[in-house]
Amino acid sequence: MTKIRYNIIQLEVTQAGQVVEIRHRLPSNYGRCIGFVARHVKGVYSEVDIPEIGLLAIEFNSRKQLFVNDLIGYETEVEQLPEYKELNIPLESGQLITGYYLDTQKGPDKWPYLNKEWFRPYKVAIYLKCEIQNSNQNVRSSAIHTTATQTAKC
Amino acid sequence: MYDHLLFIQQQLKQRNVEPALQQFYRTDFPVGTSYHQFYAYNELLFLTNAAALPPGTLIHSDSKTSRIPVNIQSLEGIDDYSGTISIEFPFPLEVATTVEFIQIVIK
Repeated sequence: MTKIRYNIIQLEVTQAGQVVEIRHRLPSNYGRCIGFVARHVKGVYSEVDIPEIGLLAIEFNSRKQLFVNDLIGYETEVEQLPEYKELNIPLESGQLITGYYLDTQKGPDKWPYLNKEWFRPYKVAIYLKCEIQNSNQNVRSSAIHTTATQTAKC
Repeated sequence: MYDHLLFIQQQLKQRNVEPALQQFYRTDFPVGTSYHQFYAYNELLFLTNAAALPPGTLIHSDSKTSRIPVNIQSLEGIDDYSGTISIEFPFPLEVATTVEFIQIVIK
């Protein structure tokens, strides 16, 4: 039996043009990643939608697979139920999810990296939708070691 | 001081990347350059001379993005880039600059 679990990666952007590195580890019983949503959640204020405030890249299984390159925008009216973009990535147990988020907001002048006064910190969240197998089949490694030790003593 | 070539070999092995070719790849930027874009699909480019780039330079690719820090001496490791790669200098270059990569073409 397959169960669905959601995992959130939160990113804080504190400087204009900042590169935020992603280093995240999913629970080891996650077997497959089947969807994702990435969106601005807090900090940017505008009366109109902004199609691009940043770029996102996500790699799975400790940099073995690059699967996500996406634009992050700002929406004035946020939908209640986001649509997950489809993925189908078998996950290797205990491996890292890596990548980056690059702030690409355009400031009032030509070189935003040098003039940061207009910038306000904001947050971006990545929601991963993953499958796990039946929890009875997943035993923590520490539990296995404990049992093995007890057996050896007997 | 760690060995860059050994590091690259280990990276390739850990990521199950089988190289078809390994060589140096250099790009020259004349005075006045502020932006350059090129392509490296199905290959990895390991930047070897980050210290030659001005602090604040943004190197952006599909898989990795980094900005050269102010304290350039702190850059011991080397990053790899692939896909569409753009190099954005914080201001137009005042001296001609060469960027050097170790290029790994993937089988």
